[in-house]
Amino acid sequence: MTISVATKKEKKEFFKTIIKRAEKKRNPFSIMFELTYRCNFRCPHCYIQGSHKDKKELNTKKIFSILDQLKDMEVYNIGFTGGEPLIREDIFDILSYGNRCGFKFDILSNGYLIDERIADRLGEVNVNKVDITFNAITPQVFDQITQIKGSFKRVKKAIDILKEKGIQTAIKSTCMQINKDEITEVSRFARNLGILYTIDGEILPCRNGCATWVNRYSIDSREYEDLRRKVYPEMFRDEGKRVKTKSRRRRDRMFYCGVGITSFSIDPYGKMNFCLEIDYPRCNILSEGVKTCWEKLKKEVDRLNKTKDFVCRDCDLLKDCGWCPGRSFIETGSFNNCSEYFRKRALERSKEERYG
Amino acid sequence: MDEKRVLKKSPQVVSRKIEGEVILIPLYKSSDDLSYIYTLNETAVNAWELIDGKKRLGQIKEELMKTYNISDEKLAKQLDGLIKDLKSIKAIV
Repeated sequence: MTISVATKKEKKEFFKTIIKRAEKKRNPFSIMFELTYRCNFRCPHCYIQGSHKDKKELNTKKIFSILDQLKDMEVYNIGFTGGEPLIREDIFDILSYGNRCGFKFDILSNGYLIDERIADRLGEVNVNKVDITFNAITPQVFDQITQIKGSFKRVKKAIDILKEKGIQTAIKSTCMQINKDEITEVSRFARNLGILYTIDGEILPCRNGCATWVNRYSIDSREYEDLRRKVYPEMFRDEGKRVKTKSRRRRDRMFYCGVGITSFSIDPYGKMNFCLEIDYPRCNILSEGVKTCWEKLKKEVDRLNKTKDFVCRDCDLLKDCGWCPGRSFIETGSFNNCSEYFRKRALERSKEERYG
Repeated sequence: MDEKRVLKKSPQVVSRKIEGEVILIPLYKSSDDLSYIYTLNETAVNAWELIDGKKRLGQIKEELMKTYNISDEKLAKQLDGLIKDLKSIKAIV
């Protein structure tokens, strides 16, 4: 009879094994939970706009019930997001309950509401990581994006407070025309603080298909690649020795991410969706329970994966294309359509590959 | 081993079953605790489940004797080791 205490390295290995088991059995392991669509920022590029909105958000009791079900299904990671999750009055009841259930959870926040008191409470509920959107390093551009005067100052202060209190913090930016000249500086800011920084080159269209902001402010793949080289120089240091990452895209199935394998998302009204980007298929957790909805969602993913005339099957650009069926769904109302956005990027990538 | 001793699980640690493994998760935050995950093997799980704040150690030992073909002395020694480990990670009080 023994109790084993794994070391740091073993922990990584341990979860690798656990995730493999979950993938094999198609058990959910890591999920996203949107607690509200309300937000105190007004970022025009936010994909939440145009989402399905019901009359009432889930109340505390219903969220507890969902968390109980997730625990029974052996979910381990939860990302609590929004809107701005900290805007909910019962947020610490929810986080505290999640902690008592034994979930490892992150909060995706804009940081505006985090002061000394909130940071202390985040520490008390044992948050794993606070993930803050930080799109610019100058107050002018930052506030222009959030459309809230003084937001830069408050969010920067929030990051300092979290760091000071030893709460794991990460920041992330969406690279756009409006902030592309500040990304390297944001990266430097993160490095100086010793916190993780990630960038994303894709502006998501709103869930109602509106792509005004995408068309106006997206950067092209060359610009994004240049930024990646500046933000993650260590990734490109030994470029000559690096083996090109093999594309995860497949000709025989649409979905190549964790959707319907180990992940899903829940919206503020108790509907289960593929992921944060796609509010589909909106299975009703409140009437059917998490487990039944998960089974239905898996079936729907399987059905889509078996689409006979899968649009990418014979496409020459497949290996250079980061196409996502969800994006097609948002843009065209069908999962089985080419996306103009991704086609353009794949062509750019393919050209770079050929001519260097 | 003090067989009259009653063990209680700490509210600071929760056990979870994930993909066939039982893990103990600390609910408190400290830089050290974040780096570790505590897993229990099958026999340790059985012992852990018997810790309810009411049963004496002697009773727990008797229950385990029913399940495992092991000498009284050997089981007492192993239980001692388990308790020591659980105490070191603040899983019992």
